[in-house]
Amino acid sequence: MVPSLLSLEHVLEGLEIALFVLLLGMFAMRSLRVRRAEIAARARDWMVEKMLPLFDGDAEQRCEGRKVFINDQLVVELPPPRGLWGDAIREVFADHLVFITGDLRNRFVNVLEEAGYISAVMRGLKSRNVETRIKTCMLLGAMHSRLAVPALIEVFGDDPDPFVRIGAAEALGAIGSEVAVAPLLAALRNPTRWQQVRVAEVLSHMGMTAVSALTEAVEDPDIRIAALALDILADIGWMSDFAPAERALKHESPEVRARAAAALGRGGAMNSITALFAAATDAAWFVRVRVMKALHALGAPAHLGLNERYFAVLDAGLHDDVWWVRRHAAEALADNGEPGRAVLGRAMIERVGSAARRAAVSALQRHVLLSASRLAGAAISSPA
Amino acid sequence: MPDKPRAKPRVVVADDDNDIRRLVQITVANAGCDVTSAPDGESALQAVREVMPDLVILDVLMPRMDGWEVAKELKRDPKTAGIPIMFLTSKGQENDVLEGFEVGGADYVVKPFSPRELQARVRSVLAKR
Repeated sequence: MVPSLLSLEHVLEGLEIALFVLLLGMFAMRSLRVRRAEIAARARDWMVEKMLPLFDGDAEQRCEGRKVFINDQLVVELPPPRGLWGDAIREVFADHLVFITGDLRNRFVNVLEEAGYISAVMRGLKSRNVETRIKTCMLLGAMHSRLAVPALIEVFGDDPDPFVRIGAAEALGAIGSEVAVAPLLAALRNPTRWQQVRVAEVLSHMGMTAVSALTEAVEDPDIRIAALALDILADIGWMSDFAPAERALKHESPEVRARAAAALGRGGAMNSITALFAAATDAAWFVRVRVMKALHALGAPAHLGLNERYFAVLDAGLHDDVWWVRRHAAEALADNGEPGRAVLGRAMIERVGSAARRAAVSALQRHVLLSASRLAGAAISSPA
Repeated sequence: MPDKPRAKPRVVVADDDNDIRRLVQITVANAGCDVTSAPDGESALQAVREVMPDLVILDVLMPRMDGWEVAKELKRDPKTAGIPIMFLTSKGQENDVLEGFEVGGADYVVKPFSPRELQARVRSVLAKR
C-alpha cells in the first residue's frame, strides 16, 4: 500500500506542477496580448502625432537610417524593425498605406525603406512556412515599396507553392512597377488556366503602368501571349501605340485578330478605323462580330470624312450570313443618329422575312424603347 | 482698417474606420478648418444638425446609415440642404460616382486618396460657398 500511496502523491504533485506551469503560460500569453494591444494603440497615436510633419508636402524630408529629418530637423526616430514596437509600427504603416496615395505615400514608403522595415519584412519571403510567405507578399504589396520588386519577381518565378507565386504576382500588381510586367507576361507561357486568369487580373489592375509592355507583347511570337496582351489592353481601354494591334488584325490566328479588333474598339482607336473596315470581311465570323462591336464603340468618323464608308461597312454587316454579326451591325446603326437609322429603314423595306430586315426591326424597336424609357425617366425625376 | 478675421470653416467628417477618420481629420484641420468627426452615418447626421458645418465629408459604407442615406437626408431638410457634401469612399465604379453626384454630392474622392489632393479639393469646395 505504501508504495502505491507514494506514487499517487507523486502523480498529484506532478499534476500540480503541470497546472502551475499551464497557468503561468496562460498568464504570460495574456500579458503579451494585452501588451501587444497597448503598444498597437500607442503606435496608432504615435503615427498621427510623430508622422504629422510628413503631411506638409512642401517640407523637405530626409532619412538617415531610422532617423527622419524635416527641413534638417530631427522629428522622429523609428524603433528598430523587430520586437513588439517594430511589429506594431510596421502594421500601422501598412494599414495607412492601404488608403493613402500620392506624395504622402511616397514619403511613408521612403521612411520604411530607409529605416530597414522593408528589408525586415522581405526576410519572410524565405520562410519555410507557406502561410508566412503568402502574408509577406500581401504585406509587401500593401507597403508599395519598389525595393521589394526584385525579390517578389524571384518568388513569382521560383517559389514551389502556386499560392505564394500568385501572392507575389498580386503584390507586384499592387506596387505597380513597370519592371514587373515582363516577368508576369513571360510566366504566362506555361501557366495553368487559374494562374493565367489571376495574372491577367493583376496586369489589368496595373492599368497604365502595364500598357507599354503589353502593347509590345501584342507582337509576341507566342499566340497565347499576344492574345492575352490584347485582352488585357481591351480591359484597360488604352494602348501606347495602336500600330501593333492594327497589324494583329492580319494575324494568322483568328483568335488574335478578334482580340485586336476588340482592343482597338475599347481603346478608342479612331485612327485605326480604316484597318477595322478592312477586317469587317474577315473569314472568321467571330472576328467580324468584334469588328462590328468596335465600330459601334468608335462611332461614326464624320470628322475624318469617312462616314459614307463607315455606314457602308455596317450595312454590309447587316446583311452578313451570321445572326450575331447582323445584330451588332444593326445596333451600331441604331445608335448612330439619322444616317444609321436611314440604313436600317432601307433594310426594313426589303422583302418580308429577310434576315437583314429582322435585325433592323429589332434594333429599331430596341432604340425606340430605350428612347421612351429615357424620356419617362426624365419625366419621373423632374415632375412638372 | 484691418479685415475682420473670418471664423474657421467648419467641417464634419464621417468614416467608420478610425485610422482613416483621424487622417482625414488631421488633413482637413491642416487646411485651416475646425473638424468634427463621426464614426457612423447616424452620428454624422446629428453632428451636422448641431454644428451646421460649411462642408460634410462622408464615407459611403458606414454602419447604421450609409453615406447615400445621410446625403439624401441632408438634402431633404431645408436647413441643411445648402451644405456641400464630399464623398470619400472606396466605391470607385462609374455608377457609384454618378450616384454620388445624383444624391447631391459636390465632389467625389476615391480611396486610396492623396491627403494633399484632399486638402485642395476641400479648399476648392469651400471657396465656392
